[in-house]
Amino acid sequence: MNLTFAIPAHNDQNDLCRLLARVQQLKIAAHVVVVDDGSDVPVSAESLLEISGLPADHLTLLRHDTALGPGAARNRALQHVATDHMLFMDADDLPTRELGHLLCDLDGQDFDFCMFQHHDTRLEREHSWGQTAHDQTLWQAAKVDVGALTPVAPAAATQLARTANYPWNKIYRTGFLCDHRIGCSEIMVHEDIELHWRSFLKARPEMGRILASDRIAMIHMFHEHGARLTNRTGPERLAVFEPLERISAEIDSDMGHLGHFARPFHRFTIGLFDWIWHNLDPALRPQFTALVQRFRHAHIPPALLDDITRTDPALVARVLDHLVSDRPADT
Amino acid sequence: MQTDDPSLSCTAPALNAMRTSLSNGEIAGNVQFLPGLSLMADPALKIGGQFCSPAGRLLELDITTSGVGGWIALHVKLGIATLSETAYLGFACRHAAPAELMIRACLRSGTEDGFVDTFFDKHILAAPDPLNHVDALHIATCRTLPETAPWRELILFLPKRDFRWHLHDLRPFAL
Repeated sequence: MNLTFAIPAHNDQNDLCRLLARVQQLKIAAHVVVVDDGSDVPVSAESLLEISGLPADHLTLLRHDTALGPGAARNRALQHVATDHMLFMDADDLPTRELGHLLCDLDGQDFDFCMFQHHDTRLEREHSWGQTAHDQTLWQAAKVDVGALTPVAPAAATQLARTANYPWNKIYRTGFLCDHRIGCSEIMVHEDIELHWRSFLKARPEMGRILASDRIAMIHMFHEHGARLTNRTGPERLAVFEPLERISAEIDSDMGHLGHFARPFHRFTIGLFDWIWHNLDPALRPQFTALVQRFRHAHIPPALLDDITRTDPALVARVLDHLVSDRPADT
Repeated sequence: MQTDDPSLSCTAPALNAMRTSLSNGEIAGNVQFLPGLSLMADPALKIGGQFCSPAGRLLELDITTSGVGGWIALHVKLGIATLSETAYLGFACRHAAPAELMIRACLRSGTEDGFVDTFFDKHILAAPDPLNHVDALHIATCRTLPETAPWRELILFLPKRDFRWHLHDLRPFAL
C-alpha cells in the first residue's frame, strides 16, 4: 500500500526529525508532505533529509509564512497527496511497527478509512499501554477491540465516532476525502472535529467501508503543559461552534441516513462543552455559556437532551450547572 | 529461539513462516496451517469456523462446535530432540480473546509406543486486552519427560466450545 504522511509543523523541527526518522526506519511511507505553518525559524528540508535519512524525492516541504493553524496546514498537505491512501500526523507523535503490519493487512482491501488503536502517554503514569479508558470502552462497545482487521457495522460506527476526534488514528482513502470534500476546519484548535465526524457521516459502514484494527499503531505524546495549541485556553476555543453547527446541520439534513448519528454526536458535543469549560480562561466562560445555550436551543431537541440525560445524568447535570452558574446577567 | 549454539536452540519453523505470511480460510475439522502447525480436534466436536493470519501475527481463530468431544488443540512441531544440554524448555506468547478463556499447554514427546505429555504449570488466561504469558519446564525436575525423543510438539489445549482466540505471537525457547 502506498501511503502519504501529511504533517503540519509549527516550531517543532526536532520532533519532526524524530518522526521522519521513524517513518524511514519503518519504511511505511511512499511520500511525506510537511507543511511548515509559520515556524519562527523555517523548517529546513536539508536537515530533515539528513537527520531522517528520507530520500529527497520522498519529501514535499511547503510553508505558510504566517501561521494559519493545523487545520489549514493539514488541508494544504492533503492537496499535495498523490497516493491512493494517506494518514494525517502530528509532528510530535510516533508510529509503531504495528503500522507497517496494518498496511500489509490493508493491501488490496477496498475501504474509505481504517481506524486503529494508539498508545496515549498519559497511561504511563499507571504503567499501562494503550488508549484511554474512555476510548477503550467505546471500542469494546463497538465490538472491534479484538482483531487485526474488522469491518465496522453501522451501530459500531456510532460508538467509534464518539472516541476522541484525533486525525492521526485513521488511514484514509484519499479519494474518499476528496470526493466528499472532507477536511479540517480552518481554526486554531478543535480543527479535527469536522474531519472526524464527517468521515463517519460520509463513509458507508453498511457496505463495509469502515475498518477497525486493534493494532496500537501510533504513540500519542500528551503534553500537559507548554505553549502547544492543545493547551490554549483563549478565545480560539470559541470558534468550535461553527464546525459543530455544520455537522449538526448535515445530520439534520439527512435524518433518514444519518439520524442514528444525532444522539452520539450530541452526546459528544455535551462532553466537549464540559471539557472546554474546564480548559477555558474563566473570563471567557460567560461568553462560552451563551454560545452553548444558543447551540443547545438551535441544535439539540429537548427529547434528545432528555434521552442523553437518562443515560449520562452526571455529565448533563454538570454541563447544565456550568450554564446556570455562568449565565450572563442579561440572559 | 534460534542461536548459533545448538544446545540453546528450539526451532519452530512453522511459526516463523506463519508470522510473515498472510492467509485465511475455513475450518472444518483438522487443519494444517503449515507443515508443523496444525489445529487438531476430536471429530465428535464437529468443529467449524474461520482462521486468519494477519501480518506480523500468527493466528486468529473463530471456532464453532456442534458436538461434544474430548479435545481441540493447536500443535506446534518443535525442532529439539535431546534435552541433555537443556535446563529449561518453555514458551512466551501474546494473545487476546473477546471473551475470556483458559488454555493449557504441554510438551508432547514421542516414545516407542506413543507419546508422553508434560504439562506446563500455569494456566493461560486470554482476555480482551492482549496479555503476555511466559512459562517453562525445569527439565531436571520433570521426571516423566524423556531426555531424548524422536519428535516433540508444543500443544495448546483450547476450549471445547465456541470461542474466538487471537494468538499474536508464540515463541518456544530452550535454555
